[in-house]
Amino acid sequence: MKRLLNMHEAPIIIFTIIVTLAFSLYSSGFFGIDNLQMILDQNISMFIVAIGMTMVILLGGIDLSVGSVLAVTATSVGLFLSHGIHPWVAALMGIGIGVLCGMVNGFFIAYVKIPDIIVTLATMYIFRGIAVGISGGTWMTNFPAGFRFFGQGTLFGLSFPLLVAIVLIAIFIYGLKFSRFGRRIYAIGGNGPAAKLAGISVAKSKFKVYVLSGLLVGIAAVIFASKVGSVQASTAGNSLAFEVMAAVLIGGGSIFGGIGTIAGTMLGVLFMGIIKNGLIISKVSPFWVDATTGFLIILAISINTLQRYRQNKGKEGDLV
Amino acid sequence: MNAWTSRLSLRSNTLLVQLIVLFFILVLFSILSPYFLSVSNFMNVFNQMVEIGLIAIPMTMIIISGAMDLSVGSMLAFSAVCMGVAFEQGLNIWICVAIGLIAGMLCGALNGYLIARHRMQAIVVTIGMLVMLRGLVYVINEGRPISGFPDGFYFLGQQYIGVVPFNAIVLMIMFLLAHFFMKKTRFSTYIYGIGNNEEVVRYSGISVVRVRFILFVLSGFFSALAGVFLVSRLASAEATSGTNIELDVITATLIGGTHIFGGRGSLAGTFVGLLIIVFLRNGLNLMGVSVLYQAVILGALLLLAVGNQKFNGA
Repeated sequence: MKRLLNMHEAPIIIFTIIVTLAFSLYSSGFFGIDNLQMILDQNISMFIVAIGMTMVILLGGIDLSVGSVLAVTATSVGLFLSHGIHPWVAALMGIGIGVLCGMVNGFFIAYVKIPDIIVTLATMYIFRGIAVGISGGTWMTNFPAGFRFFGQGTLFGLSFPLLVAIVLIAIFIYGLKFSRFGRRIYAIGGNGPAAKLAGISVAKSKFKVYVLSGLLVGIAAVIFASKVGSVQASTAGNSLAFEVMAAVLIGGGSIFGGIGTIAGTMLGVLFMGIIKNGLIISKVSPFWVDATTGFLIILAISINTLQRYRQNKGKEGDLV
Repeated sequence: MNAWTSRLSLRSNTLLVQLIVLFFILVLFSILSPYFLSVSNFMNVFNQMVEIGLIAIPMTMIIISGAMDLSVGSMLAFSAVCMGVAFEQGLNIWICVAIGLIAGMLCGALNGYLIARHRMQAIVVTIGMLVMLRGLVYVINEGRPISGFPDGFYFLGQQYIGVVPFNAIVLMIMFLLAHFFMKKTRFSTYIYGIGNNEEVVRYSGISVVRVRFILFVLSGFFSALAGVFLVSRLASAEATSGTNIELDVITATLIGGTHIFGGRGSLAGTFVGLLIIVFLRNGLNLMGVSVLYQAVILGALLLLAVGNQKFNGA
């Protein structure tokens, strides 16, 4: 039991249970397999984007541009499809565009060495503008039937996007824990200068992480476009970056880098999904959803700081 | 030899470079658009730049101190809507203005409390505030615009004294005061000090917490003030007001030579950066470039400005 409580993900699990109980008591339609499935289904893109964001935050960085990358990718996939390109090819090209966006971010952050927050703030507006530019400001609709498979199809009895998400989560949990690349991310986030002295190429790892983040956002965008069926470039994924960031922080990731797990983040996304779903089912004004997201971000950073303070309390005496 | 010295002076004098860029933009748009170079257009630009300019003052100080405030746009909207709602309750308009300003200062104080007192990361806290306040704005006024303010209130944002708009004069006075403040007072030395080396400032017996706290309260106050002027200028308090204003403000500040890691920068530079941004936007507007493309250009400019800093700086 004690070991269970000491687990990294313990607080978020407890929070999730409390919130689930609260909503179950408050509204009858909340607790059930159908609703759980819907929560999972609605947040598939967020789960996938959050994997990339976890790695970025583990590095001690931040990526505000994910929502705009999603918009660019989704619109360009729509554009490819409307030109009669085969759905699978269009999806692959879309993912390629996501990777390209990640490379732009990574180049400026890792090699030009501009702070992440500034680069992604700038690219957030740049990519959004490009998305609106290529869409011509209109809705992207009328996706062919073959494309619907990515968001709504089933494979081996499971929904295809869920399967993709599970596979990706498994790969990245394994990768972060056991691969050399994954351990490097933790090392750089934990202590950048030390990692550099240990012979790790910090710039290269950073670049790779942002490219991977772009790749994941690209995959999420394809699923998003297929699931929603219509994409508007100026609003698609508008608050995605903030929500995903909140999920990572709630899931126990430290904004200072080096601390956090994919499993925790996934629970964080689930937590956010439950809150959003619960608020809507409880018929609270939808305007409260945004306010709650912001409040959760502040709550998460507060908990984060508290943990850091408690961990450093023992060491502080030696330093001062 | 001559070319070498001229390049050197350009590199050491960033203000000169900024003025050249500004001049280039002015000349370029004068050639491209027949409507650009006129007194009425310039006064129009001055009228419209006030909100960005007001927020840029505390933003410069905060960035010099090595932090950042992303919540300014939401604080602007929050205080504007608070003011509007108070007015709908039938209060005197100037009391409503006071309520708006207090609301902004309270938001800033919350930011400051979390960031200064508890040493949380400024970026995350202000992003949280950005999302939360914007949500609260929609909760408070349910997304509808509030209008119908008395005529006396429109004086703030719409009145011209001679040919010069009243709010531009206020902005100029504010900038001059703040410039004097940043040159002459002890407090400003602390700000630069914190940006350069926070530890040393603390060991010198100066309360870093207090300085940071005051800066964020100032940011809240100026955002609220910008909100008041915006409502007066547009004659309505809307939930969407101030969206994305942080891009303009931060770009103006960073183009103005304030260093992103803190410790360096000046309000004179920010003012020139502000002029560059507003004239660029105005010129692009006159040429019929969409607002979203303007955001692309501003974003690129931001990257360029900070990218250059790295080569100039340490």
